[in-house]
Amino acid sequence: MKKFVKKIIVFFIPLFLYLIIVVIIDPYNFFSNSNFIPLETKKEISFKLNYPLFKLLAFKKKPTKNIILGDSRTNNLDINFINECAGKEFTNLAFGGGTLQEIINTFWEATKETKLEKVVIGLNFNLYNKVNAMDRVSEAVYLKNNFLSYGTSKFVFKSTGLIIKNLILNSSFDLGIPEMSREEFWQYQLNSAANNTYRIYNYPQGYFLELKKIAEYCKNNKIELKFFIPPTHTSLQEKIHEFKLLKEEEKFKEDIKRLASVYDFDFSNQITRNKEKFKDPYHCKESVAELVAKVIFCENPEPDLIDYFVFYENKKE
Amino acid sequence: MLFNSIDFAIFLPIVFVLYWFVINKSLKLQNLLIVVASYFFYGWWDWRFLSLILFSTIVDYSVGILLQKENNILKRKTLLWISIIVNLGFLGFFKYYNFFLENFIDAFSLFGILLKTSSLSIILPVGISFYTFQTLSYTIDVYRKNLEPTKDFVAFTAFVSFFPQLVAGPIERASNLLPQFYKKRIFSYDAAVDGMRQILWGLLKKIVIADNAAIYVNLIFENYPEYSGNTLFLGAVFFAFQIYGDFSGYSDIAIGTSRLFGFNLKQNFAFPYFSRDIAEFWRRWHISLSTWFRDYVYIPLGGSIGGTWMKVRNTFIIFIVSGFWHGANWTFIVWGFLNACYFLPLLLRDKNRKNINTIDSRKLFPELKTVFQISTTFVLTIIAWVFFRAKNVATALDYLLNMFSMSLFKPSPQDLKHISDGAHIIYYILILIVFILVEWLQRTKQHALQIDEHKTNKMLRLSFYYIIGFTIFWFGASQQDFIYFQF
Repeated sequence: MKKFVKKIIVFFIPLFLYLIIVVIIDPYNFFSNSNFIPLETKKEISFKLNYPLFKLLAFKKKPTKNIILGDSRTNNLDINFINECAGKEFTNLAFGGGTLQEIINTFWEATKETKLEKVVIGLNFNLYNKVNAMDRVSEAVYLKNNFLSYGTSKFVFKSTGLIIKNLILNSSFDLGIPEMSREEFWQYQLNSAANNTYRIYNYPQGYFLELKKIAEYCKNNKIELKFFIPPTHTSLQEKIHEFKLLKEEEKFKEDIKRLASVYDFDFSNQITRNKEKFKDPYHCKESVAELVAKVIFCENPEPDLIDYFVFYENKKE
Repeated sequence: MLFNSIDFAIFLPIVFVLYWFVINKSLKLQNLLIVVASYFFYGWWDWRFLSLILFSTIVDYSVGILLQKENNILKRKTLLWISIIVNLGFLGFFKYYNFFLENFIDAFSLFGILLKTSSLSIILPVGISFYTFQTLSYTIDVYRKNLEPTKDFVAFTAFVSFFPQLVAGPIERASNLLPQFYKKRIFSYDAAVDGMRQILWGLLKKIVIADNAAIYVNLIFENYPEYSGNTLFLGAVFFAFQIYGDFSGYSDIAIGTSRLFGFNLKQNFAFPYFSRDIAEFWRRWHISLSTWFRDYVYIPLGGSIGGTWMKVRNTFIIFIVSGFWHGANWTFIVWGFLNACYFLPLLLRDKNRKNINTIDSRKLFPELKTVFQISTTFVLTIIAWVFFRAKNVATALDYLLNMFSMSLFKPSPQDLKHISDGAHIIYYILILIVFILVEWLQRTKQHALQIDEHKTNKMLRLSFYYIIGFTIFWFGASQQDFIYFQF
């Protein structure tokens, strides 16, 4: 018996050592924002491996009453600019590669951490698809609430390993993104990623009902809810036409308009026609992101911005 | 509490230490600890349903005692029926009430009679099908005088609720498991080490094989009209491995955990996907359920002794009932029916026991003929699995029609791009191939990680365990419930 217990303990020693290293490195700041590993390193490594875990743990420690939800396009909004402009403190809980399911889950998780006052959701048509069902948030929520789950998760394992590698070799983190020129990446996003997104479309009845629940919750709890549709380049907008999804897109816009006020930036205009204003068909450059932020968050945006968005006010709010 | 959860990783060592170091001198206390631990384990999910297990336990314990005292055949039969009605009554209500109600209403609506009743919102107690069958086996065996009824209530309660196999089997017979609660358990180093290996392999099956397959299976089955035949075929193959990894992984963890506490449970899966025909498959898949139905339903119905009609009738009954046991949906009934159709030709030609020897036992690789037989059986199995996985029969038929279309032979890189996130699917397929190879090499053993310590190098062995551990860490998908919990 003792031999067995001894052997088991010896067998698990690497695991215990590993957990001690995790406590020291703490790649996602589970315990605190310790200075042992610079935050920049963690942002460069851990953050990119699991955005939801990183952001939700940070939000748990410092919740704000105002949040922004969405995918990488919303994530691009400059939070310092928004805070200054709005005169309120916001947390950007949008994740790169985010899905609508993740937006919904993040909303409910945020309500558990604090009493919300304002919620802004960035949502494009490509997220409004039943097929697009990835959900990293449920797992992140599970991990952030239990150290052993956190310590033994593959994200913490990978991040810890890469941070140690970075410390020892002083090497930069390589996400494995293939080398491409801007034009090549543009075409890849358009012909591969976009085709992949729009090839299979199923109306997300379930997501709509979940968004409806969020809208009702916000109304009942006096939380200001707003949607916005981030701008995409017209070459991407044309894909919707190419895949004969115009009616579905219209339905998407009608659906969210029924729930809350909507700022729509995603239509053909001077900005969305200009390739120079975009990093790729999905993502606008910082100058456009600032313009979007101004419209949504600033008290008195400049009047000439009116050409770049359409505002649909929800009277039931 | 899930076996693949941190909760269980904390729970198990605590119970183990209490069991072997604190109360190891008292058999009664050890049994009591098993009862408390089992109820805690089950109550972690939903404590309200503990009363159901306790009620079944009290009824069957009392029926057992009364059966021993009673010689009157009619009264003995009445007692047996009390046990059957109570146990199957609970099962019927929680699992099948809404199914029968809905079908009843549908049947009347065919004749233009519209009945106004509403279905109940019933939560299915986890593992009810498993512990119900386990406790029923006790009453039936006592009734048949194959087993002495127990007077030790704690031992009987521990037998019914034994936590390693409470919620998803293996369904143990009272004649095998109950006597183990009467005897003082002696710690066996070899058994415990082997148990740990089986747990490790079970975790690999569940977390790496099943949970990763689930990512693709869910996507493909959810959007099947959009995919080509070969993608649907891939989805069905992945589901075959998902359900195998999920369920046999659970059984491995259950058997391994039991061995840590000095118990021996029966093998529940014997490498079923290496079967050469469907009869062999059913001797290797969910053995504890198949043998339960054989002993308590098939043989009492006359088994295969009677004429052709009797054989046909009994085969269909056993497979359809077995299908229905899995869930209140026509898909499970069709799944059972289909398996009966596969099995019947073998039975009628007396070939159902043709393949009872070990598959190509002394060979490293299978013969070409064996490969053909295994592949054919596997394809038949995955066709049936489509019904098991689909939401309804119409969807399953549509899925199969799309699968067996011309696009089955036309590769669709676009589909692969759509279902796979980068190179994940390639890594998964590589892991699956290594997994199948290991299982093939170990096919004569009780489980794939049964290793003779004297014949293998210690460092090699340790490295292998760490590689498995690393694979679980690295390729572990999001934690998912075990599929068989819902049954």
